[in-house]
Order: sequence, then structure tokens, then C-alpha cells
Amino acid sequence: MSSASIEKGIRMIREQIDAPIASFFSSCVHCGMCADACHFYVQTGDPRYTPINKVEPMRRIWEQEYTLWGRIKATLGLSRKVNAQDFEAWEELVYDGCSLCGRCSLVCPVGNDISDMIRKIREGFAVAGHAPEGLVGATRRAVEIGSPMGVRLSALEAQIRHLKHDTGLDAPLDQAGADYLVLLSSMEIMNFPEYLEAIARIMQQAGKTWTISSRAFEATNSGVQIGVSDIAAELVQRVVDAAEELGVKTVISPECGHAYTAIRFEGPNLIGRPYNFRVQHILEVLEEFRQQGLLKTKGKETDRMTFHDPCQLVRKGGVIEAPRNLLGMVTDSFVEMRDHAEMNWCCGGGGGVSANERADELKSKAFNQKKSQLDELGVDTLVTACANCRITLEEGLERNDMDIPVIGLTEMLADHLVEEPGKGGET
Amino acid sequence: MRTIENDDDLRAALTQMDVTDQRHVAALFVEDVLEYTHDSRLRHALSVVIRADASEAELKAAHRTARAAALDAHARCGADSDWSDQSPYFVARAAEAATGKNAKGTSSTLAWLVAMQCRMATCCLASETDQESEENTCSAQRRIAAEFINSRKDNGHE
Amino acid sequence: MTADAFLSFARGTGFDWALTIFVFGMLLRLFEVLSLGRKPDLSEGRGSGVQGGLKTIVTRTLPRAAVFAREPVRIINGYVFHIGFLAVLFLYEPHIELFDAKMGLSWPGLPTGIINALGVLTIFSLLLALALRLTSPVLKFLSTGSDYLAWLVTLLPVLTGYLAYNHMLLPYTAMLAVHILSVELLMVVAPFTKLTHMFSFMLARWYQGYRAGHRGVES
Repeated sequence: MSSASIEKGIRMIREQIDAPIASFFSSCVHCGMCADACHFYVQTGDPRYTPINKVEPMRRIWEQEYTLWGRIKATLGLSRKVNAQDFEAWEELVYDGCSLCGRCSLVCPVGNDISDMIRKIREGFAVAGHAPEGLVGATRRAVEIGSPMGVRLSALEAQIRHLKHDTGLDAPLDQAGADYLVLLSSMEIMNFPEYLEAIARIMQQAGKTWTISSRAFEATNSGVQIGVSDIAAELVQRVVDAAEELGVKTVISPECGHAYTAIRFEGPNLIGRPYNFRVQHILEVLEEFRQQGLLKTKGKETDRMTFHDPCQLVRKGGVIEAPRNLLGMVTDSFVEMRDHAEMNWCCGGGGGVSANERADELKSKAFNQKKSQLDELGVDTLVTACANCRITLEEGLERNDMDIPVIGLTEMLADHLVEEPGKGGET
Repeated sequence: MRTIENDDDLRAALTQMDVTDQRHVAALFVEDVLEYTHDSRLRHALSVVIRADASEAELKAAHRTARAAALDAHARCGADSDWSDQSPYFVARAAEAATGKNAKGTSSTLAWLVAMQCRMATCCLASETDQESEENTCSAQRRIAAEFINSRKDNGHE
Repeated sequence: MTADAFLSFARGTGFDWALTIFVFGMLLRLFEVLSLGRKPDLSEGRGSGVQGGLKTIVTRTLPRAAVFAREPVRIINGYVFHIGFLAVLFLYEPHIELFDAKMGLSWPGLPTGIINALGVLTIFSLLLALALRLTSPVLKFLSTGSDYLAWLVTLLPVLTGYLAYNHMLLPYTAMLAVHILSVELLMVVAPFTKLTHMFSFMLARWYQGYRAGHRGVES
């Protein structure tokens, strides 16, 4: 990498440092607790994966530029400037070795939000050209095609045709004035079309109108994952434009963890203004339906089940009770993992890790944390609410010879819906 | 001679079957779209389901094989992918469901779920304006189910 | 220099200088943090940021069960050290008299026997902390010279205080002077090491807690 791009990276990291970041660096006592919270450290035993170490280049920039003592040290030659070798060495820690799960932030005794620091240092690494190829490609496709996986509208239209043909249900495109604007993740379109059918059935039963925008159906935000705020803002803006043009009251983020926090909490800050519509995760919408008596189910699963909390939902999005209440409608044999809800362990594939092929081996190692949780519990079925978690879990289970099916919660609820006569759909 | 005219009939017919029969019909559904995949593991897995004397262990192994095939064929999160290349994935998912123990949920029957996955496999290949191929798959499924029911009757199962 | 002159320097000019560096150093450090500011959060809140911030300042004092289970020794030792150090500093009668003289504030102290025992406990907890730092792969990896310096300047006041109180090693007056100087060393070093956490931890907890409160998530 040229020294100019490294300079840009350093400048970008410097721009990210605000009072919270400075207070975090001022407070770190090198106690090492964050290592114990991190599946990448716990499963590899490699101290380089200690979360606070992942932002060491940022700490040095902060010290040298924003503290008098650090400036004196730098002038006296007592500290070394961040250079190209540092970017080289830390790229793997910043991207491959962190799923932005936020568990470290929750255990830090002085209160450092380490996960957010890593989210921010990525801005500098991306601009310096030190981001993994997989994420760079996904981000380029998100900008150019509108989906990190290159999913085009025609694919979605094909699925909608299939839906109409085989179930009689509709997924209306671009319907102005609908109650809800539904977003989808590319993973759902490509691998789990059952999600779209589930939404169609649930909305029909609840008597709500909904629509999908042909211009902005993608919910995920590669800009947030790679750490390029300009792109992240552009992707958010597309959804905002669509929602405002269609005049919807609520935008529904799909079963995907980071898509939710990206649009719900980062979004307004990225585009620099509040929304004039609400953003809810699909589980929040379903929980509202449940409370309003709009979600009627029949039958209960008999399999012993547990729920894998997507990190972004529980630790950064606050969606904890909804999945448990919803699961209660369709199963009596629900059991919790030892560390669950806000202390849940990541599947290993979040934060752009699963889009980054070279991280595969590390991701499988990190999965062993989930494996040990599941081994301890002995369940027949694993339920989750994120398409990326779902595939990561399925792959991990498969590699470890564990025969546990993984199901999406929305889909499972839709399977239990009481079909009302005269309302179409399946009989 | 039983005939199945539409999806409502098909679904009703499938719902009346026991799980073994559902698996059998489901496997026939998957065989009908097997040409969309090059994964030879799936043919073997399906043959286990169709064999009347397959043991639990064999079924389990077949299920594992089908699932591995599905995971190998899935579109990776964030990777460049193409909807028209997804057929093998849906065929494998169909085979996974066909070799599984029970359909999850209560309102869907195992064979119906498999039928839907098979149709999705065809749906990927259908061009934007051409719905023909998916319709072909649907009518093939109705025919396969009717023939299966009729052959069972002939063999004195009902 | 006689022991008496040494003591009077430590109590007089030395102390004033150390205190000045400590106060201005810490104020500078806090100013360096706060002056960076932060942007307002434009997302629709689910709860109160202020409540979340205040709550986290308090609740983060306790460890989460899942982490405690992994590192019970390190965590318990951390409590022993902090409680011991603060008790010896603020609840030893002669120290309270000093605060009274300098600031006009006083409060009841603990019997000297207990303070003496707490001092021993604090010294042992610091020795254990060093042992852990030298043996744990993570701590060894993270530690810099500054961490060991901070450890040393924290140990010295407790150690010399104990020696002075028990009339060990040096005559009392000399040891008391050494003790006071070691406290001054701690005050001078503190603003330039991780010891700034003694104040900045509240900011860090506040910021994380504020954000969590706004989002309606645990923190």
C-alpha cells in the first residue's frame, strides 16, 4: 500500500476519535477481562485476539495526537508512529478476528465500548486499503447492484411469482400508503425464501398492508460492516427515500442482526437527520402482533429447543424478550443456553466475518464456543432470527457432526398460524 | 384411478399419507428435478428413502449427506451470487427435507415442503417472463403423487 | 539532610508540587477527553441515555457471572486491592486528619489494627496482581512498561506506610518521609499513566451506559 493511503487511514482513524473513545483509552488498565469475553481469544488462546489489542493502532494515534504527554513522548522519540506494517499486522485482527458481537463491551469493568472502537478503527483500515477482499466485493456490489450478494430485482420478482402461484399469497411491490415497508436480506432471498412466504402469511392473518420497494429491498449494510460511513449512509438513504416516497409508517428490518442496528440506530446518525417513520425488527413487529392478539397459532412443537440470540439484536438492539415470548406460543420445551440473551456467544460469522473467505478457519474455531454451549444443553432443534447466524450455525454443526436442525423463528411461527377460512393462502 | 387436478388436491392427498409414504413421494419429487444438480451424493441419498427396507441409521446418513450437499451449494453471505445458479441448492434442500424425520411446524406436511423446495429450484431457472418450467414441475408433482397413490392401491395398501 | 528536614520537605514543598501536578495533570487529562466532544444521537431512543449512563457508572462495579466464572481469582483480587487501598487511604485516622487540615473535611476512621491488616492484604493483592500479570498469557502480552510503573508507584505508598507504622527497616521519621514521598511519586505519575482511570472510568461507563440507555439495551 502506498504511504498516501496509509496517511489517509491514519487521518480517518484520528477523525473517529471523540470523547467516548478518548475516555475508553484513558480508562483501560490492561486487566485482560475482555479477552475472556471474546470467542476468538477463548477458542484460539492467542492473546493477540484480546479485544482491546485490536484497537492498539488507534490507541497510539490517540495518545500521540490528543494527549500532551503523548505528544511529548512522540517528540522525544519515545513512541513510534503507526505505519504500513501496523496496518498489515492488524488487518486480520480488526476484520477476521472480530465479529463486532459486543460481548467485550459488556464485561469491561471500566465501561469501555471496545466493540464500537473496533467498528470505528475499521473506517481507517478500509480507507487505507486494508480491508478483506470479500468485504470489499460485497460493498461494491451493494453500491452498484443494491445487494452485497449481487441479488437483482428479477430474482425477487421470480420469488414473488412463485409465492403467488403456489400459495395464492401476494408480496406487493411499491404499494404506496402500506402499513409496513418490508426489507429483506440477500441471504433470505438466495437461501431462505421461506421467510418471504412467512411474512406474507403473517401479514395476511394480522390484516396489515405491506409492501416491498423495488428500489430498496436490501436491508443489510456492507458499509457499516467494512467501515465506510459514506457508503453506509448512501445505503441507508436508499431505504429512507423509498420509505418516504411510499409513505409507510414503519420499516421492518428482517431476520438479520446487523441490518437492524444499521438502519435502526446507526442510520439516522449516518444520514444526519431523524426519520419520519419507525424502524422495527421483524421480531418486534411479531411481538406487537402477539400482544394485540393478531398472531394466532395452533399446536406446539415437542422437540427440545433453544434460541440462539443474534448478537446485534440482544447486545446492541435490545430485542431480548420478544423471541422468548414468541417461542412460548409454539413450544413448551424451550430451554436456555447457559450464556444467553445479552451474554450470548456469537456464532462466529457476524460483523462481516462470514463474507470474508480467508477468515473461514478462524470462524470455525470460534464456533467451538457455540458448540460447547449446545453440547452442554443437548437440544433437538436450534431456533434463531438471522439468516447469517443460521447458515454459520448449520455449517458449524455439520463440521462437528452434530445433528441439530436450525430454523428461523418467523418461519416457525408462520408454520403454526391458524389458517382462517376465506382468507386465502393454504387450506 | 385417482387424479390430482390442482395444488389443493395435491396438498390434501399428501397430508393424508403417513410419513414413510410422504418421504417416498417427496423423494420422487426431488428425482424429478435432480437434473438441475451435479451433486451425485443426492441420488444415493434419495435411493435410500425410496427403498422400503432402509434402516433408521441409513436414513440418518442419507439426511446428513443431503444436508452437507445443501450447505456446499448455499450462497455465501456477502459473496457474489447468481439467482439462476441457486437450483442445485434448492434441490439439495429438498432432498434434505425428504430424508428428514418430520416436517417442522404443524400446518406443513413434509412432502409439501419438499414440493415447494423443488418448485423453487425450477423457479431459479425460469426466465423473467417464462413461468412454463415451474408449471411443468407442478404438474409433474401432481402426476407423481397420483401415480404413487394409484400404485399403492393396486398393491392393496388401501 | 537530616530525617527531620527530609520529612519537612516531603510534607511541605514536595507535597505542594506533587499535588499541583496531580490536580492539573488530571484536569488536563479530563479536558483532553471532554474537549473532543461527541455528536448527538439522532436515532429514535427507546429509553433514557442519562438514566443508562448513571446506572452503568454504578452497576459496572460488579462483574457479570459468566466472566466471573472464568477469572474468579483475578476479579476477587481486584476487589481486595481496590477496597484495601481505598480503606487504608481514606479510613486511617492520621490520613483523615490530613484531609481535615487540607480541606476541612473529616469522617470516622477504622481502628488502626484493622487498617494494619488491610495494608498487609493490599500488599499481598498487589503481589498477586504482579504474579498474574507475569504469568497470564493475555496480561503478559498486554503489559507495557507503564503498567509495571503504575504497579510500582501504587505498591510503594502502601508498603512504606506499613513499614512506617510498624517501625520497620528505617527509623520512623525517615520512613514516614519516604512514605510521603512515595505518595507524591504516585500523584506525579498518576496523570501520565493508566492510573487516570481513577477518574476517567466514570466517563467511560457514562458514555457506554448513555448509549445503551438510549437504545434500551443492557450495559
